[in-house]
Amino acid sequence: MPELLDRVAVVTGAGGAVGAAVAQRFAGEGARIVLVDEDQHALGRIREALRHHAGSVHSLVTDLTSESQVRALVARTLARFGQVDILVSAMGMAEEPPWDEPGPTAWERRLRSLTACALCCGAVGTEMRARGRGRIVNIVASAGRYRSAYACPEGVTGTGAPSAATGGGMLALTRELSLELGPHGVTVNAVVPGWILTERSTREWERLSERARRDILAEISLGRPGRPDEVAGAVLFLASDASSYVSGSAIDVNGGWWMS
Amino acid sequence: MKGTFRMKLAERVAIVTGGALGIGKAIATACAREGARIVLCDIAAPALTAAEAEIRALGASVLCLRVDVTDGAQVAAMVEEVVKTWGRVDILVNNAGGGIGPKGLTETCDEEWDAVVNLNLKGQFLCCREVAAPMRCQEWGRIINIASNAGRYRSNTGFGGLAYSAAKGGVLQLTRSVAHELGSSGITVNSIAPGSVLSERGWREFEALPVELRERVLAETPLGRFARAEEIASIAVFLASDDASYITGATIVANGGWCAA
Repeated sequence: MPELLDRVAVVTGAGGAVGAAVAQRFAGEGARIVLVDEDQHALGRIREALRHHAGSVHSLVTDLTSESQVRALVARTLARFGQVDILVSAMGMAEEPPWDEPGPTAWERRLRSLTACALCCGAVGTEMRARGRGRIVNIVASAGRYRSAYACPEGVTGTGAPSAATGGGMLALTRELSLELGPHGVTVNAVVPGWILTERSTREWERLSERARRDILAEISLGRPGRPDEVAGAVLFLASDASSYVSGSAIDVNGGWWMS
Repeated sequence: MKGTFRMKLAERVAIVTGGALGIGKAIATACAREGARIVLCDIAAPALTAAEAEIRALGASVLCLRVDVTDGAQVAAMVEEVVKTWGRVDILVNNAGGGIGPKGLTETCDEEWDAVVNLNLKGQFLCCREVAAPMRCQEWGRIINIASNAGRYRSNTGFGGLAYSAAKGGVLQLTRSVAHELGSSGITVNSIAPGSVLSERGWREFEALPVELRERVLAETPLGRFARAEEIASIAVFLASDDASYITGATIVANGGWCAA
């Protein structure tokens, strides 16, 4: 049986590699999906990939740091599908700053994904609370739980800090909301991916020296980077009935790179 | 829609220790529903026979073995028997365990410590050790160790006791160490840390608690209830499935939000 038959899921950052993999997996499991991203082109790509599910997919270009836009997003989701069962915040993964981005810009960009996560959890959480059920899954950069997955190349410093602070904030948000929403039948959890192969991470990988690449792979017990669909598998678990007693938890999807 | 969805553990061979009752039986049942062939191990013979009949009734293949997991020779013989019967071992669920009640530091005698640590920690070590060779040969394997909230934070009810908490903490570290050692062979090793579970035994323990303690623990649990054994079993199925292919050395905490981390 499909695991999310007729459930309604809002996926933010759906234009990024991880968000898109989540949307594809959810569509295959029978969910109705609202794809959200700030980037219209990226959103167009995932819409195209999901064209066989067109009747059950809706997409919205939304600035998630705007409270009024987030409220409108929830209202439009309810108007289209009548309910919200699942919220997946993948925006943070789509917003990973490049190494050479100047510090203040990187801070601003990363903190926007924390604000977006908080606003979405608040607006969607209120709706779920009223219905007495729901699943919230926040996808959090590993820097927020441990440290950056790999060191910056020579000549670049401190770019991991914005990601670490943002990810740490998202984990704290996850824990706090699990306490608030648990009594109302809503679970709130995090997925913490390690080094996941995407177009962007591949470009950064190519900038590393042979030695640095060898060192990184040696630290990963499974000896390989992960794939976006492997993150989506864990997100599906947390969005499905299979995780009904799991709340306030973080699941590491990092091939054994870091074990908490 | 039925038929287009593949069962998650089709044809996998899954060993479940302590599989006759409670969480173990729920895990064996859930794996069987997803298409796995089940090796049901326990020391309790009558319960084992009853569980075997129930799981067979689902249409699953079941191999039933009486095994004391604290005995290395018996564990080795178990794995040998499974490989002889089905040619492989895909999944090991280290579930056999149990405590001796709410005994603290100065109340625990040597024999009690040894018994609890042997059952909860050494048993898992022995089973991991014996399945390593066939799993390495296959270059595929999933090991799932049942730990406890008590081994990660503290016992929420105090029921398990000191030795139990210490042994379950050991299980979490066993998980990480074995995960690192076997990762390059395509084997993942993870643990589940459940809070209070209302299995048959869990119910008895729960009912023995003072009312105010019961109420306090429930009030501290955001989901406001204890787990059903099936809610732990569904986590084990996830960890054994392809959906968890990049997860290893991890602990999935399932305590209804009692302690968030």
